[in-house]
Amino acid sequence: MQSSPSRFPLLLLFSGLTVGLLTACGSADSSAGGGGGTGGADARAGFLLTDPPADAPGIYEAVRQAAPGDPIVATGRIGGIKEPLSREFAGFVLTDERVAFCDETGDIGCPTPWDGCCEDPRKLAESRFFVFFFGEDGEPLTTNLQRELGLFANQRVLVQGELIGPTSDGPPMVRAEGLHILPEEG
Amino acid sequence: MLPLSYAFRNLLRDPVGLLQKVLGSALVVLLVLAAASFNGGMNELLRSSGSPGNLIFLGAGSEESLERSEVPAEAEELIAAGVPGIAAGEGGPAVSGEIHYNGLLALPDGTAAQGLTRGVTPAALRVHRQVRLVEGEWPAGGEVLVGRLAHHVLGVPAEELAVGRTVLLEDEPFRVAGRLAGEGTVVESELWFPRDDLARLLQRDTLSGVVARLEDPSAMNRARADLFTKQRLDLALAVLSEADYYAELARFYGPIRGMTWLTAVLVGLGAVFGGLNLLYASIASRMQELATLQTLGFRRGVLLFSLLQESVLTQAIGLLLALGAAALLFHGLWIEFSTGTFRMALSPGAVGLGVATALLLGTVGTLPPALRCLRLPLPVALRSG
Repeated sequence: MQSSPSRFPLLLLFSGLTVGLLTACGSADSSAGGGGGTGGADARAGFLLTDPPADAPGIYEAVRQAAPGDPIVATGRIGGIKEPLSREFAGFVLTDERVAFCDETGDIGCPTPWDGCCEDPRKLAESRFFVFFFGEDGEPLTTNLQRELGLFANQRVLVQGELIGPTSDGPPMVRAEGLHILPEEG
Repeated sequence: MLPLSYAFRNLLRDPVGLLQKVLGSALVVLLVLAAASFNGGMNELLRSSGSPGNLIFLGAGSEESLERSEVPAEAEELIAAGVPGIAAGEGGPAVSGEIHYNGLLALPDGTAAQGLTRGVTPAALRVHRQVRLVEGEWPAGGEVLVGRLAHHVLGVPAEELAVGRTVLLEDEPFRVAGRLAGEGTVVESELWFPRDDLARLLQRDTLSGVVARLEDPSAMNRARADLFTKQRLDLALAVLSEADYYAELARFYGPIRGMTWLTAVLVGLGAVFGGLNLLYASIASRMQELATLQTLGFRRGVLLFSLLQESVLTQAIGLLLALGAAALLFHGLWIEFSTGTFRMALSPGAVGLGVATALLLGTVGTLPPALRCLRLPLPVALRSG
């Protein structure tokens, strides 16, 4: 069967619309991941604690009471810098709740209340720690926790892991084994 | 169809009216050209200044300004050692710790102005690939490199900053050792001092930022750099691509660009309303003539088309006048602002916008008065005037 030349634009339009609709469906699908993300339940299971400890100190206290290599369980808020969640790696900056974020001090106009810009810089500096998940190869996991777990800046979380450092290579960090998303207080 | 000569002849029937319409149109188009050239020049400067392969490490919280940023001096070495994917140049990794300072520059004759200065080491040339030394040599202590447009900052001829001349920064004299070119980037308006000299002069032991060039500017390499800043929270660093930094600067200057458009639109609106008034008057005065043409068999659409031809011809004359005035008044004019120096130019985009404005004025501006006249019933139109 031959296609008439006059039908060609119509065919082209129809194909374009079909491709467009399929693409739109695809993108809607992938963005709908939210908390689930591409890895879905499996990915969440790898990071979330099944039996989180009932009571844990703030991360500032927990780090001071632990030595390098000690197990650590601590709570805090994701924040302390403008972009606390890594986009490509499974890591985030956790700040002790002794630091008042801007939304807690009444500065409702601050566009990034979680970065601690309203707090004393020295207090902020000693109260924040990088928390990250390693893979079996010893490298940081390349997982976007924002997408996989739905984590967001200013969220309260509990982390369980091991304290690393401080070393000559940098300040203390937490090598995480699991985390638990805490409910908002008050 | 009425011949084009009819439209031509009608234009010359009222030379004063024609002149008024042409001048009004030229003013509007000139303003559009000026705003487009200004904004285009500024955008182009800031766009060219940011290399997507370069990362800037700044003090956390000072991401919007290198001049306000402070990072520890040891960050340069730590970044070179700790951030994967950094390009290697001749003599070492492509990592440049820099001090950026907006200081008071002066000449021995007393001419003075605020200008951007940079304290650098030779590593800067490994990072800023678009920058090259076009004359002279790398500065020793007490010497300075000047950008090829830096004289605009001081408002003096280029010879005043020739190699061998003296320039003062915060009253301290420096001999010009060479000249820099930077392919239309902000660097061309800057003065580059040896970093140690600038640090001593400003009594600072910190850097403003560290610029690093990636071998491959992929998202993963940028993420690794971001990971480094999170692991080294003690350094209080933030990282962004140089392109993003200058894009942010461009956004910062958005209100200034907005003001130029607003001014052009407001003044242009005045001219448009004045022009509309003129058009209403001139078309209304020809109502009888247009009605007579209708009785002769010319349809309204044909008459409307002829009126549009007249108007577009008028706008074309105005456009030519505006282009000529723009070429004389501001094409090639250098504009200094706090971040650099850019050249206003009648780019194809600006000229295209001017042509579009003239066409719009010629067509949309003519429609209301023309339709108003042509809609009148023939007996009424024939008795008018």
